[in-house]
Amino acid sequence: MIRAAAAAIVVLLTAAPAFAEDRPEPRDVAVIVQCLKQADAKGGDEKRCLGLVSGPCLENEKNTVPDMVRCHDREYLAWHNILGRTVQRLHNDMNDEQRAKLKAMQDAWTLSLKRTCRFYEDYGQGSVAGVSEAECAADETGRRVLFLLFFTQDARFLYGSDGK
Amino acid sequence: MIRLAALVLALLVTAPAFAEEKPNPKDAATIEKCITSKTGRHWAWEQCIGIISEPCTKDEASMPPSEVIACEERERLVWDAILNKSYQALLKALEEDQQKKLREMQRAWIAWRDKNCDFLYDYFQGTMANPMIAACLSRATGMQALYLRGFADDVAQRK
Repeated sequence: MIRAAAAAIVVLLTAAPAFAEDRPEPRDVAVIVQCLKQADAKGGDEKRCLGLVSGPCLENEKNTVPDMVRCHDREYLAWHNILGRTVQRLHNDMNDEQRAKLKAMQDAWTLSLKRTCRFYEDYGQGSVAGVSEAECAADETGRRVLFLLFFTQDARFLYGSDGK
Repeated sequence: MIRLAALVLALLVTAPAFAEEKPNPKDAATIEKCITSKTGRHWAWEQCIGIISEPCTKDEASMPPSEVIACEERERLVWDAILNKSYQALLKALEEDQQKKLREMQRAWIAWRDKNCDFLYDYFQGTMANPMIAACLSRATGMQALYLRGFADDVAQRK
């Protein structure tokens, strides 16, 4: 039991990109989960759940560059929270061999995410590089959740058995 | 990785037309036309992913897995060519330190792609996973090709 719990914690830690360590706003998580719930019920397109938090946030014409980064960070943090729960769910349903593969896959994803999004800065886009990097992290983390939800078959675990 | 190698081997056996690893020129033109017709940020380009494989696999339920795999491979080859061309153009334009970062990024992506798509086999534990692996490889290659193409186009415009 202790071993399993420790392994789960390791998986969650390694699934976490090192872009931000703040907590998500509960309402941001709720908006995305609600969208996933609707997509799941209709067998629809989960991709429309990407950008639900950052989209309206970016519509403010008075946004500065740091404001834009914060919009994407909000989206990232919400998806990152959902990713942790999704990885945990998968981990619980797998045998030891599959758990090891899951961890290796998530480790590889984390490194790729970091280098892929960081490349906007490396390439030298000037002041907008930070915005692109933050957008990249949010979008890729959301897409990661959508990929992993495919293995869980449904998204109901995200909002509980009562469907709320 | 071993399973990916097995899939590639299966493709060589079942789809000799694609064994040369060159995309069909007609497929390449279709995707190129799609990319150039989408303006704005590269996210709109994502709509170009699947435009070869989706019509090709529209009767997937009645198709043998080898044919579904061949459809996905047709599309993957086009994206792979775009990816390689964009990567080379970008590499050529960057400074030494940036080239190092690009190589590191691409290596990390390849490692992730292989583990990610191979996980379908690990999870479903059967040959039924092979068409899913082929689709996974095709889509992942498409996404990375579009990502690199965005930089390559920017490099071309700066000249």
